Amino acid sequence: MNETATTAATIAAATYDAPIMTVPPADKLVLEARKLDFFYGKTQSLFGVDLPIERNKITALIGPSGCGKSTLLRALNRIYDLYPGQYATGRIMLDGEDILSDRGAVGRLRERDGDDAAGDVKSGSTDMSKLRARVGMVFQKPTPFPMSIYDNVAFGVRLYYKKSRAEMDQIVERSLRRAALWDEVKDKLNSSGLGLSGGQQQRLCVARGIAVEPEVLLLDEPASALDPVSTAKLEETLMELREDFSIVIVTHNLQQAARISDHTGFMFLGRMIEFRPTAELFERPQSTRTRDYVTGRFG
Amino acid sequence: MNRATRRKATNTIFVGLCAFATLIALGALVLILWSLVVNGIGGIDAHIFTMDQPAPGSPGGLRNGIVGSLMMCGMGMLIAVVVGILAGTWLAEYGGQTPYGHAVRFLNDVLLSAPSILVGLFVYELLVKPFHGFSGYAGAVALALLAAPIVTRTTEDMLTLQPNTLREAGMALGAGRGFVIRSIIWKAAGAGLLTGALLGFARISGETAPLLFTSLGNQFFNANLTQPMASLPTTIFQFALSAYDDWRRLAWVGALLIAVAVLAVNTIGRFVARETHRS
Repeated sequence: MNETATTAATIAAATYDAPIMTVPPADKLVLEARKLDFFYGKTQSLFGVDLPIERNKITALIGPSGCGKSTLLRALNRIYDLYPGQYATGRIMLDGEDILSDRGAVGRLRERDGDDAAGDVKSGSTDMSKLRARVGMVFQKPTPFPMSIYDNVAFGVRLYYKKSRAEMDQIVERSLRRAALWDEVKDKLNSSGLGLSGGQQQRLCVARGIAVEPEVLLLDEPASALDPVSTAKLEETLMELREDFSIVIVTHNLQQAARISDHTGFMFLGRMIEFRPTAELFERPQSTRTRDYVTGRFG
Repeated sequence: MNRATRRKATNTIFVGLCAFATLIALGALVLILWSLVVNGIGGIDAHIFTMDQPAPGSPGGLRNGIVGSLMMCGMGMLIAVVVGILAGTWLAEYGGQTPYGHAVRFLNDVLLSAPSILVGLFVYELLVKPFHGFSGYAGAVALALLAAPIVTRTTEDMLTLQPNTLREAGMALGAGRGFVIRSIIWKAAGAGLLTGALLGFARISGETAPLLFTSLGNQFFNANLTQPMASLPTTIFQFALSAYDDWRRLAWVGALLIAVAVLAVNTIGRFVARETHRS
């Protein structure tokens, strides 16, 4: 979101080696970005990025501010569609289906015609809602809805299924348990989600996200607004969720990436520099840029 | 004089000036309320609510005016809230940044400060002349025209205050834009939307000028909105200017009733907003 014209100029001036990628076997991938370019209007902020996401693993994206980690994440469920003028080209394959196929072109046309009728999805809006049911997202700041804890968790489920009260009770309990929040809120399910602490709110958002059983869960710096204790709890939760979901997490916290992730991608100025199993990337970085970053020499 | 003393002195002077200014504003308010209570409270009896406006010298009340005001304000607010919330939502969430959106916002601001008597004349041309008669409906529409811009403005402001991440969070679960607005954003901005409605109500509850050209006033009881209709402000207008003591006493009572009603609605509204926000 912070890319500016200056970064674009810097990028043009810099030279880039091919990214150093260790890609997991194709049959284990759930989501894969291929040669992804991303534009905020006329400003390009991702340059031919590849990102393979392995099923039931945690993939971390690291890199200095403005390097495009969040942009990449926001492309994976096309949440950027909300904003006119933002579009992606390239491919994002979800279970072998390109989720950019219909709108990538539409986005470009709109940009060209200067149509800024706010990002309402005109055609294929059901596809968009299906996509978002399969690729969930948790944001940097906790975003509980102004309703009860129960309704927060049930919100997404109600969009897709008609469930009996008993079934819904089960889903809510199961989701809250998996998000490690159940014991703290089981006696106040009907009180407002806004009354919870920051860490609890974030786990509520995780519970809300997994209640619809997505295949992939995207997390955009989910712990940056949390204290260390809440952060540890959230990380523990994510490690357990790996059993059922594939997780992509953007983080500024290198220790966090090292602690919880299986794969790590290091990004710099809109490009993927190095993508490898986490231990290898941190212990034996191959690119000098990666080495400088993980050893704290810049960024 | 050293720096700290000087800063302290400056501070004292400015706090003093602020307190003085506040005192002037509050003083005016207290004086108004005080004279309303002193002059109005004595005239309040059961007849006020059970009898219609009398001929000079006979016993009577304000029932026709109270009922007329309630009906026209109620209907006016209904129109204003529906139109205002929809327009404000459109400005905040959809078309606010388009040229058309800018035009709508500008015109709404113009309407916000339009003299109420002009609104009355406009509705006279629109609804009174073509239908050959004054009516409660025309009065309600005139009041709605005055309240709607306030509701629109407040709605837009309150919705704009809601963080974008809340919208994104709703849509990230797969909800459509409209559904997110209805089920999340409106709820999050609920107290603010209510404030807008209350401001609108406060504005129109004492309006006289637009009613003179539209509902006209009626010395008899009438609950039929297609006919000329009494209202408290027009009754006050008529009675306060009269030469009869009992009419003038009733005018004070009417003024007190309006003030109390606005105060009560505001207090209750704020209380409700706070309670629902807390739970």
